Amino acid sequence: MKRSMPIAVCIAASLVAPAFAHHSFAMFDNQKDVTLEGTIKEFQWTNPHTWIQVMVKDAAGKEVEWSIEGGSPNSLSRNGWKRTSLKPGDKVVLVTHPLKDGSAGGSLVTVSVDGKPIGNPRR
Amino acid sequence: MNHLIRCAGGLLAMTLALSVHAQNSALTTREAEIRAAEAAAAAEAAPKVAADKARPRIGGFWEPIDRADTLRAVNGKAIPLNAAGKRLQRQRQQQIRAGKSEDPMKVCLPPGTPRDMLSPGPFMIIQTPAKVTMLHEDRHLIRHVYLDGPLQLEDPDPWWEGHFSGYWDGSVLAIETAGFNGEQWLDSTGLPQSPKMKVSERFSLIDPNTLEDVITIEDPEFYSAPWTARLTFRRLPGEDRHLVQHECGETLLEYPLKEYAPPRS
Amino acid sequence: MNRATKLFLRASVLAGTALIPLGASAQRAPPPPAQVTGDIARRDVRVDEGVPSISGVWIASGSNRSNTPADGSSTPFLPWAQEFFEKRLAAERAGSPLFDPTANCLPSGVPRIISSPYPIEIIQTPDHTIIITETLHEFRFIHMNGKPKPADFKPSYFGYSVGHWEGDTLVVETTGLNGYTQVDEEGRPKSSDMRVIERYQKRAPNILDVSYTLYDPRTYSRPWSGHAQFRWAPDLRLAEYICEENNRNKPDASGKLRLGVEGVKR
Repeated sequence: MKRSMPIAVCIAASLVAPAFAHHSFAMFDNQKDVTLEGTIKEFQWTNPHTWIQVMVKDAAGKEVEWSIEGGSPNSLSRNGWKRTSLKPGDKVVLVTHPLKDGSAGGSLVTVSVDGKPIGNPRR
Repeated sequence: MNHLIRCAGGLLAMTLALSVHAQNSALTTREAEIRAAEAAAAAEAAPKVAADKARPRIGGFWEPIDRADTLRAVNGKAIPLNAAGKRLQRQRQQQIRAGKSEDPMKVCLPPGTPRDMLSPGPFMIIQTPAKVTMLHEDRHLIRHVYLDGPLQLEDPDPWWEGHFSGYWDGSVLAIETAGFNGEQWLDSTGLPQSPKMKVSERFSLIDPNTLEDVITIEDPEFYSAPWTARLTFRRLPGEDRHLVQHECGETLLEYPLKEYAPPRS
Repeated sequence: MNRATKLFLRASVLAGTALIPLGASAQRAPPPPAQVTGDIARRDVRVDEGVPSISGVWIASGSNRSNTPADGSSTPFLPWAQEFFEKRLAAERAGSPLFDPTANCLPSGVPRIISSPYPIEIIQTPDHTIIITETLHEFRFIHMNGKPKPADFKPSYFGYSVGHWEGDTLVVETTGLNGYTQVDEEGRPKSSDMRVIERYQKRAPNILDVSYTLYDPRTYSRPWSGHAQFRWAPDLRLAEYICEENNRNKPDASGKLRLGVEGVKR
């Protein structure tokens, strides 16, 4: 079955392609992009995955904490990221492949602070 | 001087490449290019190689002479913990006595520096001109020590093992480490460390088969003064040995390991 | 500067610019190309000059997601292995991948580790060729003087390897592998009978090719070979990688991956 993917998703998907891949990213809906606007609560610059804890207002205006899973700091730091790339309080726009089960979580596609995307998309 | 050496090296490489080509015209272009590049790189590295050949040989396999997993200050002095340090160590020891130890090693976190040198061993030291590498059997720990000189760090990511830099001071190998996350214990008694800690080690051969590691710890968060411990290691015979990686993760499984293949019929 | 040196430097610069910039793994600017010491400074000085030099940091060009026969043929699964593979893929598509020890910070083993797209460091000594991986800080010992596998060798993730040079090709034979890990991420299995032969050879001054052949009559109907390639990475240094520090996807008692959102307050 042929499916054409938007270029941005292709590039971004390769940004978070499971590199060491100690597990697959099967729990996420890799065909779907969800855009979140919120405030960084915490950025965990850790192995085996970095995690972005971001507070997002849901439709009812209630704040929900999303857990966004990113690549290893080892590969991110070789793609323009630093442990200080995101700080608590940063206002961000995040694109994520959401968890298939509907929980407030997903894998990182792209994140921008003040309109500037973090990291370099891979070739 | 470097420029002259590189020129000489380049000429040598060119000559070698040409003579090799003349000798064996069946040599492919790929092989010739690779050999020429290797020769040029070897010429460039020659001074470093010569320097390392003149050094004591600390490479090989080692095990601790004293199998204690605790650090003691040299000359029987008390470890100069300050009030905060004493409090934290006491708290940890209370937890241990209550069966509620929070030693990070219990959840397979790495011992860090210099606690890695308290591992039961054996470990291997690999000495090269550019770098000294240490491989431990216990938890397959690895120290990567580039011989960049004294440590210079700029906003390092906080690491468990810290960031290393080394240099030879005569026949002594100095290794400096900093940039710790501060979460590990210095030893099993719960000696504390903080992200401010700096560790300076000096490795030297007391005799060809005995290695000493003099460790100075400086951490104003928990210690009122720098203090020094000393560990010694004996060389294991033979350099053609095998290290087995011990996988701590197997002790933390919630779901058991299974062989994927059906049993042999 | 002669042509050979120019060639070498150009190859190094190409390799360097093809890679992404050095990040937190070294806390100083990388040395300018003129100071590159080459492979010889990265190996034990007692290694014979005639031994080809492969010591230093390399990075794989591909990934180990899908290790398939390099000749384009389909994987020669035995029936149980075919079923295993299909079940793995189906579970992945359904969103709940089946248990794999790597999710517990255990190694992916040989041959899966070969093409892992993280830096490796090769160090040559007189008795060994050692391959160190950044991920999980593991090391593989390749015994270069025929030291035999001990009779009581316990099967392990990386097994026991012996190697020798055939001209400019390093030939490595590995046995003693345990049967807990897969050949790739997709789900090609192996048994503890698997024997792996790897052949490492430089294709160019900065390109290391590896072809590996898998012999496992308990899993595959015939031997088959895969391929991986590495680029010389003089500006990379292996950084710390402590998998245990924040493994939020650790499998639970049923073998299912945790989603990592447990315990997060709404």
